Amino acid sequence: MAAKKYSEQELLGKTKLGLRDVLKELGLEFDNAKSNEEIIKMILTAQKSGGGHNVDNDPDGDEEDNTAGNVTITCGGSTGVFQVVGKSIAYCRKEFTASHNIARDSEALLNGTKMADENHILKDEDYLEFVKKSGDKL
Amino acid sequence: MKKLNIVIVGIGGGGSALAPKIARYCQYLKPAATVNITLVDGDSYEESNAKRQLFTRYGNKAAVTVESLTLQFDRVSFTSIAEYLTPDNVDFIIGEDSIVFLCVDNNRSRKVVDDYAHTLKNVVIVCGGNDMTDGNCQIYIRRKGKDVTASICDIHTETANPADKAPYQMSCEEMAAASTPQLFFANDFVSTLMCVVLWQIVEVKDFLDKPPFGEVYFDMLKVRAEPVVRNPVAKAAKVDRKKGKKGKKPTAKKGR
Repeated sequence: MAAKKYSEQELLGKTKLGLRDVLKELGLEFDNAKSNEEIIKMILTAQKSGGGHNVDNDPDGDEEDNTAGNVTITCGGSTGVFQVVGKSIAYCRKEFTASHNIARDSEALLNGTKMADENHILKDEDYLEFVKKSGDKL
Repeated sequence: MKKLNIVIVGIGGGGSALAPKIARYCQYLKPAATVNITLVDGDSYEESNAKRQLFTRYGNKAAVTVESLTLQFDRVSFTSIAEYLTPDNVDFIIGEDSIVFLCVDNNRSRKVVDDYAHTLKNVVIVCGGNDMTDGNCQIYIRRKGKDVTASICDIHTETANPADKAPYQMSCEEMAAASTPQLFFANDFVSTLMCVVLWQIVEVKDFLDKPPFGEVYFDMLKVRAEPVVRNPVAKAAKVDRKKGKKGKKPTAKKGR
């Protein structure tokens, strides 16, 4: 189910704990070092990029769907195409850990480039790889 | 290709499975090519290796394998180097225009080769590795002094920052302790992927200039092999050419 889309006013009325829950809904990582303003900016950016869905303000469902499209997610011999546009890399890491056997310390490559910021929001046709370590033996 | 200079480093589970396949392929190449295959390993075959490694008698792994292959494949020239690869002998073992198959079981040796490869103009490094039921095969291509693919260490931080020791740094006790259970089929799977790379280098036009993949992962439980593109990473030259290196050169023994 798509996450609710919040207005800036709604977010300003939330405590840090409340903002943490919103981040969780969007699949973003919470960083306690960040201020409420920074977190709100992060949420709004994520929503703009397609994370979340405005259930309250779009009863007719005629708003443009920013979550359409596919992302290829791969780790080692496991790969697949998934509808995770608008979700973050961190969300995918968590969601696909078991099915793709993703190690906690594996690096994320987005379209071949190392991504330090796992709150980056995925777009249509992105190729996300969690680099599996080389085999130790031979 | 009129001439192939192939180096196989490590003649254990993977290398002993790889060498006969490559030798057989090269023996019957058409049109015929001049093929030199150099096998490198400082270790010896012993009884405990029989479960996974292919050998005809006990003795140094490189020498024993060359002895066996020389009898079977008379159109190929073999050389054995009965030493472990080290930073001191890597420049003797790997030359320009070599195709190097790295079948070692430690990241430190992989890094030694990767670092040295950056100093060469034309070289291909095919690096295999496996755990119990899965593994990978990386391809690092340099052409005319430029990376065509990402290097082994560009992508794999565990290779760039090795936490393990190479065999030449270990005591016998440490080497015995480092030994972990493996499956022959996993070794064989990696060696077959490495052969596929050689076949593409020889047969597929433009493979060296535009390789469609830079790494292949396999998973025997899922019965899958997954190729991944590895574009070169922009960076400054990592290693300067070695100048005035000291140290004794290893002794190469010609197979024929």
